[in-house]
Parts: sequence; structure tokens; C-alpha cells
Amino acid sequence: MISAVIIVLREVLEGVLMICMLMASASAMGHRLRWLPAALVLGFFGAFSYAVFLEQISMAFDGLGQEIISASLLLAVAVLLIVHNFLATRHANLPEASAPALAVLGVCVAASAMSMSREGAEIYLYVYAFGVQAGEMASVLSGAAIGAGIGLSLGTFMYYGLRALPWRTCLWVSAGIATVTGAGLVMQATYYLGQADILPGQAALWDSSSLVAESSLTGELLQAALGYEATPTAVQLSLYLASILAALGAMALARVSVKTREYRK
Amino acid sequence: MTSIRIFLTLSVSAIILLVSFLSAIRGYRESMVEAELLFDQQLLEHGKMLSLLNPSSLAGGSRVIQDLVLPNTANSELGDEMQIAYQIFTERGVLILRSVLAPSTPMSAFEVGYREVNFSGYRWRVLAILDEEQSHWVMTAQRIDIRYDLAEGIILDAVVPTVLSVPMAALLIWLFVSFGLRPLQTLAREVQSREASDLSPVRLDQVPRELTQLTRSINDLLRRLQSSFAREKRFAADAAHELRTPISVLKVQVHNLLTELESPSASVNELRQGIDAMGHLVEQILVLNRTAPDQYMVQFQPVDLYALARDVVSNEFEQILQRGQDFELEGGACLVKGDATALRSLLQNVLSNASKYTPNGGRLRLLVEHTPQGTRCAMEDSGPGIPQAFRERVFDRFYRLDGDRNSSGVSGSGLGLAIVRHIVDMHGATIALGQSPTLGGLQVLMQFPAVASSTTTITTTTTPGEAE
Repeated sequence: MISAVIIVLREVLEGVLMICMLMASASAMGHRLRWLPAALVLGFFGAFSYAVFLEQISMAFDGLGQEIISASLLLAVAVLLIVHNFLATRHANLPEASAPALAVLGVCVAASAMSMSREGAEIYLYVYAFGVQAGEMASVLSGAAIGAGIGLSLGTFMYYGLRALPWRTCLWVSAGIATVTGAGLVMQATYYLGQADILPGQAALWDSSSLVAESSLTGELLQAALGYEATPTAVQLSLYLASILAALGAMALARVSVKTREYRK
Repeated sequence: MTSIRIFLTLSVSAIILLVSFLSAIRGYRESMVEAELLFDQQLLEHGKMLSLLNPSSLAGGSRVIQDLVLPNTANSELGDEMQIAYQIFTERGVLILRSVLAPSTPMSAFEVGYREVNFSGYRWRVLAILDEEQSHWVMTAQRIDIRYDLAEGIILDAVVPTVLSVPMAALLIWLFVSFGLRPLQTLAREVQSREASDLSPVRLDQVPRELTQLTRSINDLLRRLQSSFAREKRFAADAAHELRTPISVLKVQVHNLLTELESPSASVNELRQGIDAMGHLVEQILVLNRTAPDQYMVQFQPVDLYALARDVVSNEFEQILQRGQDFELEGGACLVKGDATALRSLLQNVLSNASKYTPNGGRLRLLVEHTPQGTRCAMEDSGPGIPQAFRERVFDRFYRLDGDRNSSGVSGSGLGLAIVRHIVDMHGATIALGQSPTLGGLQVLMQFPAVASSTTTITTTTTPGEAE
């Protein structure tokens, strides 16, 4: 049961924390949460399709389909989070010049649905393989329910915590969370790309397994929140840092564009 | 935060869920450790029991029978799932007794204590002990996966209800939060359902402590509103008195001036028209103030709209005659529930507008009649009418078609139709502007709601100049 808790909690946290951050951020930008049902429906549908067609997906791209699709979804969400940072910074600096609602809501719906599709499919497959097929239904389902419940509770606290902040602070904090989450997603994507031999295999720069093992609860949670990797390679680390720089760059660009606009006035 | 109810339900549910699930995990882990200890204890008990059997005598004195297998029934009371494998060795390590499940080789090293080892394709927990005479080794073993499954099965029976109870708790929280917020809804309903004129303090039974301050603040606001409305009413009355008198004096003075001058200049005539316009404007402003729906403390009575119309017509008839207009009043006695003074002002404005904007020699028609929905009052003329695009805007205060100097050349305050709309709204009636089907000009159509038949008192007002 404990392993079910940890695995499901990690998957749920990865998705829920990001979706709750987007909810708080979109609210701070003055948008209601009407996009959420659409994102949830698309996410459920995506997760179900991903799980059902997993075999076909795995066979695609010469047997590397699953790795490539997973990496693509992760990278797409990371890019959307960078776009989110641009929009949030722009709104925080100049609300009247804010992006059209369609852009903000589009980012929220797409990022949430893609994240849910991947995480949902992984949870579904885990529960199916270890619960239904291995005949451990009660244990796996209880563990999954507990993991999902804890993840959703933490998401609720995060959403209301962010909403309790002044709207501008909320946007800055959300952008900070999006930066770290996006980098974590890039780190995970590099793992899949490495498995698919798209990224070169390299020696690890260090091994922090003795400090925090990836398979430990802390390791799993750190991986979910920050993309923790105990043995990162140079390429992985570079891409992780590049992702953080891209997110910060998007925020800087938004500030510059606002300043230029004000200057023209 | 858009909803207190959703916020409270979600946050309280999340707290309960987090606390109960974390407790469940902790309980699960500790129970698993306890269960491990219990199973270890069981192995020890069985080992001790076997050591008391005196295996040498069982084996037939000094003869050692190797590979002696205990019958399966010996384990039956433990159940099929919790079978315990046994081995008994001499102090020199010769096997003299074993159960079916146990291999023929030693399950563990010949050292006292618990160990985890692999054999027969499974992982086992093995206990090795020496009997009291230190002459035999007794080894007992359990499959670890079965121990784990059994322990988890028992513990899950306690965890599952916790998991299942959370949705039920969330539902109960939702219901109780809704119940807790009821006084707030009652207060909102109480404030919302009031008449615009009702500024009496809000009184609620058993106001919760959290709402006492809010109720006090609302009552304080109502009290201040009431006194400010009273001040405004007094101001309207005072202004009427203060403004009407000097304007009347001015009118008299101009009249005298016109009489004194044999051939008054155009400027003096313009002065007279200006003073008349100012007098009209002041009257209109006062009517508008008195009839503002939020402030007008009305006690509606059944009023015969037809009689009132007749009365108003007699007042305005001189203007109609001067312009050579042809006027018809049609219909019969029709009751509407309302304020006679306000309705008089309404009819007077509608009629005066029609006459003013209809060319000399034109036709006017006022109809007051019963309809199944109530009373219909229609004023029609043969004037130029109002283009479709402006029919809503003309109800705005101080709005005049084509600006201040409109093509009709008629002076006005731009308040007439604003007053009409106010009075119509105040009486729950509707008003629509359109084209007169019979006369071709403007049609002002008003529909008043029906009056309950039990109200029989008819309030009619008469004026000194009644024509009939």
C-alpha cells in the first residue's frame, strides 16, 4: 500500500501543484475558473486514450514511441509554463495591456490537459497492472486513494495560499513555481530522451543518492516538485539550467515590452 | 475567493483528508511492524513447542530417521495460508524431522536468531533455536509474502473505512457549512426583499455573533440614509417655495413691463419666454425629485386614469386650442393603483409633449381603456414622431432630439419623458414609443398592471379649471 501511496502521490503532485498554480495565476489575472472543466475533461480523455493506446504508442517510432511522446508532452508543458511566465509578468506590470483572455486560458487548458493526460495514464496503468492484474485491488486502490487525496489536499492548500496573497505577489510566486516546475519537467524529459538515445549517454556529474535516494519518499517528492535527479549528466544539468534561464528570460522580456509600451505613450 | 461555502468545504475537507490519511499511513506502518513482531512471536512459540516434543523419542530412540515429514494435518489448524515449515536437527546438524514445506537442507545457518533466506522459490523468515538441553536445533519458517499479505489484509480492513469516510465527511461538511451560512443568506434576503422606501432597521432573530457587527452597520447605514432622504425631501419642499416665489414675481414684473411698454422689443419678449422656461424647468426638476422611485414614499390608491386624463386635458386645452389642434379623448373609467399627483404629472407631460411637437392644425388622440392585462393608455399625434434610433435615448434626463435647438423650434427642459419614465417605473407599468397607426405621428403606449377588483375606492382629483 505504501508504494501505491508514494507512486500515486508523486504523479498527482506533479499535475495538481501545477494546475493549482495555474488556477491561482489565472484568477489573479482576472479570469474566472470556467476553463477548468474543459481542462479536466480533456485531461481525463487524454489520460484514458494514452493508457488504452499505450501499446500502439510504444510501437511507434521504432519502439521508442512512449519515450518520445512522454518527452514531447513534458517539453510542451514546460514551454507553456514559460509562456505563462511571460503573460503573468506582463499582467503584473501593466494589467491594462494584458494578453487577451484566449491566450491565458489557452495556456491553462493546454498545460493542465497535457499534464493530466501523462500523469493520469501513469496512474491508470499502475493501478491496472499492480491492482487488477496482480490481484491486490484493496491494497493498491487504498494506497492510490490516499496518495491522490494527499496530493489534492496539498493542491487545495497551495491554491488558497496563493489566492490569499495580493494579486501581484500571487503572480510573482506563481511565476517562480512555474519556473521550477518547468525545469523539473525538462529534467524528466531529458531522462526519456536519454532512454530513447536521442540525448547522448554521459557520465554522471555527481551522485547524491547517499544524501537523498531517488526511490525514497523525499526523493520521489523532490522529483515531483523540482525534477530531482541523483545522478545528473552534463547535458541534463545544462538543459535544466537553460529552462530556468528561458523562464526568467520570458519574464524579463515581458518587463521590457511593458516599459517600451509605456515609453511610446 | 468567490464562494465562502466552497472555500470552507474544500479547505476543511482537505485538512481532514490530509490528517486522516497521514494518520492512516502512520497507523499502517506501525501496525505492519507490530504484525511482524506477532508473526516472529508465532515462529518462536512453534519452535519452543517443537523442542518440547523430544524429537529423539519420536524418531524411535537412538535411531535417527532422516527426512521425516510431519503430516500435513499437523499444520491444519494454522490454515493453508499460514503454513510454517519446520526442521529439527541434532546438535551435529543431522536432520531428524522436517515438514513437507521445509527443504532437506538446513533453512538457516546454525545460529540462534531470525534471518531472511530464499528457498523453494520464495523468501522466508526463519527462526533457529536450540532446545533446553542444547541437543537439538529447531528451525521454523514462514513465507514473507504470506506474512505481508495477511498483515496487510488485517490492517487494510481498518484503513479502507478511513478512505471511504472522507467523501462522506466532505458531504457532511458541505451541508453543515451551508447550514452555518444560513443566517448570512437570511440577512441578505431580508435586505434584498425590502421595498425601496423601507428604511426601517433590520431585525433578525438570533443573529450569530459574527453577524452582529454587520447587522449593526447595515442598520446604521439605513438610519443615515433615512435622515439624508428626509433632508433631501425638506430641501425639495424648501427649494420649491424659495424658487417658485421669485419666479412668480419675475413673471408679474415682466407682465407689467409688457403692459407698460406700448411696443415691447423682441428682447423683452425673449425675457418673458426665458422666465417661463425657467419656471417650467424648476417645476420639472421638483417633480423629478419628488417622484424618484428610490425616495418617493408612496401610498398607492386606486385612481381612475380616465377621469384624471379628462382633468389634465381641461388644463392643457387652452394650449391645444391656441394651436388649432384637433383633440379626441376616448375610452372609459379605468382604475390603476398609483399616486394621483404623479399620474397627473405623467399625463400632463405626455399631452403637453404631443401638443408641442405637433404642428398647428394637427390631430391628437388620447385613449384610456381596459385590456385583459390592465389599463392601456395611448397618446397619439400627427406630428413628425421620433426616429426608431432615438426612441430609447429620449428618456434620458436633459436629452433633446437634435440638441437644444431642435427643428421643432419648441423650447423644453429635456426632462418631460425622463419624468414619464420614472413615474411609469414607479407604478410597475411599461412604456413604449412607436408610430401611430391612425395619425402617423408618435404613439406613446403605456400599459398599467391590473388592479385587484376588491379595491373600490376611486380617487379622482378635480381642478378649478375643469372644462366640463
